[in-house]
Amino acid sequence: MAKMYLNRMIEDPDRTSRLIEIAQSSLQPLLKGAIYYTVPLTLISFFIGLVLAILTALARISSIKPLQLIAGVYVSAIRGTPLLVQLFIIFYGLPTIGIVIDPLPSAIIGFSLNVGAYASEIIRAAILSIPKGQWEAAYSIGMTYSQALKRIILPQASRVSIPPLSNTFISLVKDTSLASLILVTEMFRKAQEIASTNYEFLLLYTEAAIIYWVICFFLSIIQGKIEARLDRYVSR
Amino acid sequence: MSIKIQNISKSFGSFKALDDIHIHIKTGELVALLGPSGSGKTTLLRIIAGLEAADQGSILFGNEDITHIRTKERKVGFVFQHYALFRHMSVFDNVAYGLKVRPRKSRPSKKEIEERVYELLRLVKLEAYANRYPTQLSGGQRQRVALARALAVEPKVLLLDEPFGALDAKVRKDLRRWLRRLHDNFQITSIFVTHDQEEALDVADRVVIMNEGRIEQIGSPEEVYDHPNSPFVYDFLGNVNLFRGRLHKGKLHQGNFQIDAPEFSDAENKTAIGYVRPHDISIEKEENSKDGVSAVIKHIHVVGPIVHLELKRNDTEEYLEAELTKDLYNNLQLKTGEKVFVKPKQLRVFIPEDYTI
Repeated sequence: MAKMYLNRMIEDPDRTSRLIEIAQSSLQPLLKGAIYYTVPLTLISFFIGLVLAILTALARISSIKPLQLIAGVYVSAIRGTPLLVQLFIIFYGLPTIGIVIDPLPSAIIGFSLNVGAYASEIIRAAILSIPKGQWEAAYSIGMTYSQALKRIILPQASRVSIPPLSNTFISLVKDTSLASLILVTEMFRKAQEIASTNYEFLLLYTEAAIIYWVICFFLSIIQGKIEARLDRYVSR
Repeated sequence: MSIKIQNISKSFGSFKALDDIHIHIKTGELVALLGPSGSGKTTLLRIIAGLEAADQGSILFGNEDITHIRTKERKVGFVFQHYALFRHMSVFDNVAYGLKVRPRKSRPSKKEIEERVYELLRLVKLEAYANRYPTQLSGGQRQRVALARALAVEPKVLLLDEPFGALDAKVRKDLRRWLRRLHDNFQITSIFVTHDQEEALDVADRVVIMNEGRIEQIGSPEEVYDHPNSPFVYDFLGNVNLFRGRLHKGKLHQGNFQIDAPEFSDAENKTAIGYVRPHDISIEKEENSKDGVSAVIKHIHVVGPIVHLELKRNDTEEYLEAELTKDLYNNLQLKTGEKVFVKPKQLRVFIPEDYTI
């Protein structure tokens, strides 16, 4: 099959130039989808998810039983069900009981909840990896719980959690493609729309894949930079 | 600020870490909590700091009951065994942070904080290191930063948990002298935990010797060393030779020894143990008195001005340790394998029924 495809391209110069033209003309709408939807959707969901994750992690670490329980059920429910099903419940399911949410907000809610659950485990582990003595030292010089958390524990925990959080972030970039199924016109949906008019599925989906890859490639470079920065003064 | 520790007990599960502890510490005193690991000394210190809650009893700073007050309000400076410096902050920030996080109305100005931090860094001889990070410092330097950090918040009480435990012998000795001088200058009530008897005796005004969650003895270094009130204290503070024998009418009989123990003049044939420090064993080459016992020198090692002898008694085949000054050793011209006569110059007798060792 693959050979046939290539042979046809070589034997038929017209087709080759047609493919190049399609690739060029579709690049702009795809990048638009990425810039207007994929990237903002990722950033907003990740930010909200991270706040949710810190709160959830603190609830799970806390000694207050009801908080532990609520956080535990939340993490278990989100991790135990498929992301696509969650998105469908929010977008297609909730209108049944009168809650109608637009595609983009629906996607943001779904992705944030997801990041919140997965990242909370990362943050919980990172906070627990900071020696108890750091809390005690903070209290002994007169800090409150929130001061100790903000100024002593989280800065140190962030160093530990950057690599696993980057994993979550990169997964999220790719997971945003699922938003295409609840009518968000992000990059992958754009690719589907264009391909449905000219039937060049391989070309367009590959083009979309390459753009995802490039985004994730730059993200991992940024991850490296952040890690190096946080690692400056800390030897292992 | 004086500290009253009143009938403090603490259990971890079924393990009794502290059992009815009473200590009264005077203002400006430097007290050592000394004991083997598991004796409860660190737990007691942590309870005083509020890092651990006691099951019962109360703690008073001055006249104020602080038993139920949280660590952050107790105004204690705490120096941790493994420093617990904030690794993501410079030395300056480590010391400054306790002041920086104060509520606005009691917070000194930025300039005052800076002055205070540099004053403390000068005190711990680290002003050149203000911009370094903890990982760029040696162990001794880190511990001094920890001390400066604890002092920055002007604590009423300074608590130190095995402050020099993780340092090498030379640095440890320097730092404890330095701590003593610091304490003499600041006059801040201080308690430090140690398992090193030499350190406790060297630095502290008073030593609290703890064992299995109880206090064995409290006293000045001289008192506890010269007059231990239990076999445990005897054993814990330095080396000791045990003479297990029978106590009868004021004399301890053991092998060919008959040693006076006048405080037990009415004892009738009781099992007893005599405790003798190695430097309280006299060594003679001739049999000058009939209460000496012959022994053979098995091993000699010289550590600076002190000579340690390992001897084997001819009557009971037991081993003995003795210490003498180099001068005396040179005068006697002792050699390995030589026969000498030994006798205890000073001994303390305990009847084992009263104590379990």
